[in-house]
Amino acid sequence: MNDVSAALEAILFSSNRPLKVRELQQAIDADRNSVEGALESLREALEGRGVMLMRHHDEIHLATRPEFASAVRRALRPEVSGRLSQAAYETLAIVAYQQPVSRARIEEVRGVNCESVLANLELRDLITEVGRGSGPGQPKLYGTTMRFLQVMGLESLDNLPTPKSEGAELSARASG
Amino acid sequence: MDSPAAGAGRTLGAAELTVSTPVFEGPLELLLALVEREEVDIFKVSLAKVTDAYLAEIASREIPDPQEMAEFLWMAARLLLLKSMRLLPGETPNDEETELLGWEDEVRQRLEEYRAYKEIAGELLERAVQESFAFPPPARPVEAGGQEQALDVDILVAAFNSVLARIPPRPIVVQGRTWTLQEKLDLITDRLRDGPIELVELILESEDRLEAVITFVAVLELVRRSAVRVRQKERFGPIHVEWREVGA
Repeated sequence: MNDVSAALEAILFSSNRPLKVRELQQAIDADRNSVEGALESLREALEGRGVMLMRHHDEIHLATRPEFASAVRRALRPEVSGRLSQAAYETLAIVAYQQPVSRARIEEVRGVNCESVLANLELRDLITEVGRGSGPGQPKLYGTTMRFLQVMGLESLDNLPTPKSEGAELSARASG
Repeated sequence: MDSPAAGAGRTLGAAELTVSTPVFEGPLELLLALVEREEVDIFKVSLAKVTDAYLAEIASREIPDPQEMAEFLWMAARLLLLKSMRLLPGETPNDEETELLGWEDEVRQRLEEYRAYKEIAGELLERAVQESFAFPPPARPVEAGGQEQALDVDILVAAFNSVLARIPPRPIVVQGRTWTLQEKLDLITDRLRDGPIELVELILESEDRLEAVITFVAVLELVRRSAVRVRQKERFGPIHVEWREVGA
């Protein structure tokens, strides 16, 4: 791991919120490519360690590895969020895979009204409005948040669980 | 066009509560369960085969919401039509029947997609049950800029007022203890040394309104002494009271 990676590690360690790649570029006065490269070596250097590099779209942060969640919990008793309903997990799964996604599309997949479950997930900061659709009424488009990754203990959206059944192509169906 | 999906896309009342019970939430979920019981491969099973089970299921259930009931019945009608077609094979399908065959395929695809998301949802649930949380660095004196705005006392007062009504008034016969400001100051200071506290939650711990007032005054006193930092991420969001390290 080089000095740039180490500097990024220091910055992320001391930040109490996720930082955008652009903010990291400004902090160490480097272009996007070198920051991305340094992040990749930091990610590799952290393999097998107690903390990991988390990435949600363009946002970067550090977090403890989910394997050690119970140890952290015993030591510090941090606040944890309440349980979600089955409907909430289904909706989260659709948002995670299809983001940015409109409520109409989510309801098409689940075949039921999803208004209240979406409001609940938004309130818990697991999903958020990430834009507006181009269709009539410019519907809200939902995406996941860094908190979603933290709650699920995922390093990035690339680490989302995949369906076991054959022939289930999820991302291919994504549409506005 | 007029698939149950389009039906579900309609705006129902916001009051519709989604409760997680073994009850099926919509026609699609019920159909998926029946189809899976019949055959692992959704594309091999004939939807007509599950018609009877589907009808039996909706007959045995109480669906109080007429809109929701309509959606279940709509699916039932399509299934019955499909079944009647299958019972009289050999004839060349007319336009409506051709459309129905297309509908069956479309429903199969939707079932397949829905099943995939249900599986992922199951895995997410499993992760949640294992509590495999990834904890980010805690709030600490080194603050990332631009995140939080300086808080006006007005906002604290507004937050206090918003919850005061939820705390019972002081009973005529006082049973609980009576707090002094100094006791509250000591207690809150002790707790803050362990980590930040959310203001509204702190106030809601009070047993009666007098205690709530003393708690709130204690927080204001700590703000005045610059002993604490009060932060709010977004308007109307939670307000966190945090111990400020002396000399940091």
